[in-house]
Amino acid sequence: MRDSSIGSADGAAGSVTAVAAEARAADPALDALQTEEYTLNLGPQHPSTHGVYHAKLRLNGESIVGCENVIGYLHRGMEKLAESRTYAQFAPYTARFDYLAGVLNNWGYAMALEKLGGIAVPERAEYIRVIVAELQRIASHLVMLSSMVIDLNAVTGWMYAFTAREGILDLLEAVSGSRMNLNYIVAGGVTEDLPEEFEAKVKRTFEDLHARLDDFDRLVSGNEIFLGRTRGIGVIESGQALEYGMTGPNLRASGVDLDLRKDAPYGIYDKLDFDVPVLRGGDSFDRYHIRLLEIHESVRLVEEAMAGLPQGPVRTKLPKAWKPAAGEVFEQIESARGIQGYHIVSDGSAKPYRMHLRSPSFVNIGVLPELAPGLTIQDFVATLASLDIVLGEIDR
Amino acid sequence: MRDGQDILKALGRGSAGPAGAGSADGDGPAGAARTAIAAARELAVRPSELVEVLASLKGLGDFVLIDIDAVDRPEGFDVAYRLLDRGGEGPAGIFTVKARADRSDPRLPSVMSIWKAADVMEREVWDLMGVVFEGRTGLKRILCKDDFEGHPLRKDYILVRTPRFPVREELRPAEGAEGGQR
Amino acid sequence: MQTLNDLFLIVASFFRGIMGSLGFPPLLTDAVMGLVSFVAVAALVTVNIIVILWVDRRVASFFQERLGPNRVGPFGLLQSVNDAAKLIGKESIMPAAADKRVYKLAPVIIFTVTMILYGFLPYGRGMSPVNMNAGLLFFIALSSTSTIAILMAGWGSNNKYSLLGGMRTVAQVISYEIPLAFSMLGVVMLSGSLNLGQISEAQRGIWFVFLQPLAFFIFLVSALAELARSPFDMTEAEQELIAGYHTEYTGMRFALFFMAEYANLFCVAALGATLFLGGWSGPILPGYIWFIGKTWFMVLVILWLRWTFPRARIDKMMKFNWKFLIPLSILNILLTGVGIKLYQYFTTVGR
Repeated sequence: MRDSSIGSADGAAGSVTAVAAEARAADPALDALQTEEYTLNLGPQHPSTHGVYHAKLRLNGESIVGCENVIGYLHRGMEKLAESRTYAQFAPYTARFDYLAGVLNNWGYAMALEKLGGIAVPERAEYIRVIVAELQRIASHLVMLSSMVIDLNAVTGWMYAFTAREGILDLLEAVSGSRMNLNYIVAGGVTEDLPEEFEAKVKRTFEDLHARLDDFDRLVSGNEIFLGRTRGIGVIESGQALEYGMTGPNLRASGVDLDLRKDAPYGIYDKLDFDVPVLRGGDSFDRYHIRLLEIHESVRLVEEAMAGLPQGPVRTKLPKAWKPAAGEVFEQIESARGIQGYHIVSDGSAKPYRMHLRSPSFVNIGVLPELAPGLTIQDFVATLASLDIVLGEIDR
Repeated sequence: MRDGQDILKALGRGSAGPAGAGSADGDGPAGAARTAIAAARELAVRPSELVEVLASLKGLGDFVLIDIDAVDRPEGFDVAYRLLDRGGEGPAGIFTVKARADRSDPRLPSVMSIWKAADVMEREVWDLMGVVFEGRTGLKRILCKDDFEGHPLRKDYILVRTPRFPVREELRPAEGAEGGQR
Repeated sequence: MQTLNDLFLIVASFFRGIMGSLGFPPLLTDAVMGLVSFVAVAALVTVNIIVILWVDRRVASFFQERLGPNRVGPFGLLQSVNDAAKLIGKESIMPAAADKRVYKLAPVIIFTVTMILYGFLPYGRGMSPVNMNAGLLFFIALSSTSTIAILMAGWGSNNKYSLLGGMRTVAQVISYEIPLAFSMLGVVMLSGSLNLGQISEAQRGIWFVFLQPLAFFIFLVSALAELARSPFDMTEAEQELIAGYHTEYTGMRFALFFMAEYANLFCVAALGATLFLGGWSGPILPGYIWFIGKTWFMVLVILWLRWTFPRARIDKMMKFNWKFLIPLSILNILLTGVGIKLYQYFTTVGR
């Protein structure tokens, strides 16, 4: 299908096309040389598109002159499915949106239901939610770090971060029985209390995590080749990021201090003391580095929450076919990739009238058609990896 | 839900003011708008006023377009534009601007020129709900395949009862059996 | 000890003696001995490929804190045999629009070239299958022809990714041949010969790596680029170009590319060992043991580099070559020349 929205960039000064045009004008022999731009499909089956993502690239040699996102390969019709499931039945589906940060999706959904039905959450549950959610955030960021370095072929770095992630997944399994796609945070609290000896396990895991992150950092962050591949590549200015509605670590790496955990606190985040890292550069290296810093902040949050954990019940149970009052609610949380929002419209029956997910990755990829021209294929791969997208939540 | 008129009046109809002007202090037209906005969390506007209102809001600064979302109601498509209000004291909150598009011929002006984020969001609403956004290029399907017919998230979209692919006779659902929808 | 050192030479002369007593004309004897060397070299290539495959995977896993193949045979030693058998058994699918002759010829050329190169290596004193006076020159010249094979693979596959891989390879390999050759020039100046056997001979006093550390470094970097090994493996960058020039190859044709890569690795490592680490010179142990040992040391260093570093960007790699490596290698030649003159001056003054 011909598509006019790709277009060929007329070349900002200094770009490949501009330089080529100048060279042509200067030398008639070169002008007679036939070259053409070609279209390369990056994906949907591709080792580094982080899922079934398809970028239609228009290339001049190795430089991109046009980029178009094509998504929808993983569209499962979840929003339509939600209209024929009860609220409790749909809860496990939510973890499959952003499958790398399952519990964070659950939390957003649970918060939306709690607001809809005016349900109170016990305090112990709120603390446990923070603990498990931040552990999930660490696991998600570790995936981003590993997949970014393996896209640049630092295979050993990938293995180190993934092994660190295994420790976190063991913790999540101890809590809920499932390594990914935990259905642990539900409306009214959490499904079960923390297991015994959890604090000791967390302590051991974090020691291991710090050691491995240290190894990873020393292997990758200072490496000349890695810096050459990521510094100054894919720079997103803060104004541009806000224009495109970007949120999360990508936005904070561009210099905008926006984190819902601080700016619109939910749960007990207002009681916890933590920092939000903000970097100024907006390039791929900053987007990589900020996640490394955020892992350390999440560790701090977990330790703080564990220290302040009160006693008490962990769940306000809801009936299986719970019927909330008719109404509409939009609740948002700071997910690992940005602001994730749930819009639920209830008509008073046991099944939602409309369920919509505001997906951070879906909005984040909007910047690529503007960002890609001027990059080479290799840079595009690095930039895409640094944006940390998950196709499950893009396509729903 | 407040009418767009008084907020537009507060914003100074037609004059949005420089970006970021409103967030500083509480006086002047921008300040009055801010107070009005802080009071209401939601605003219903007519489709014709939509672009103006959103442009004025953007002109105040501190608003980020978070989501565009449509609900298929019997009266029409309720399209909600959610903005994150970062300015002002207190926690950041969601400010929603709602517009209703006719059921029979749902059309709304596009806000892509105001926020580039609206591009993918409007395409999704067009794809799944069928609301046409006018005044923009490239309104095409984003999640469903390009030659898909129909708009799946509409309430009157019939989910197919018989399989599209060849299925053995004994596995076909009985005729007239209820599909999966309500 | 001397017997052990000359073991293969003794066996070879034994065969010659038999053929002479059977009344073979000299030409026929030479032909038969040539055939025997060919078989020996082919066996060496095959065994090396199998061993390097296993070592690569085990070493990689130890770097990455995992176990690696350890099920098939003791310590996973038969894993490579398993892989080879699997690849042979697979269907060789050729894209319908591929340029048939070019596509089919590419893996054959690349593997053949690599096999030929093994003939020039001095495995021990007097143990070069082909003892050419301009051996080093011929070696470099021949190894460049693999570029054509890769371009053939890239073009013949009728696939944009393969073409990109092929084009990158041509640019990369051609560019890095220059510092490769220049770094070897220093060694040639010191030993006064292009014959690989004589270069090994000249290192009996001191290995050239101590006299030419800069050249060794340049050689290592250029060799990595020539081999298209990480961090210079953009030609087959899995994360960008799927599999680069061999994207569309399956089955035995893919196996040929695969084997050629590992065979080439050993070959270039052997060249490095010959030029800089003294080849077969060394005390006590027989020459060929030293040769194999030094080559394996180089192989391990190259594998180590592959698993540590991310991949460079192609244009930065080119800049590095043209703006840094080549001037550095020319500087090395200059310093070597000055050094040789000074050495000659001081040794003659001393008399």
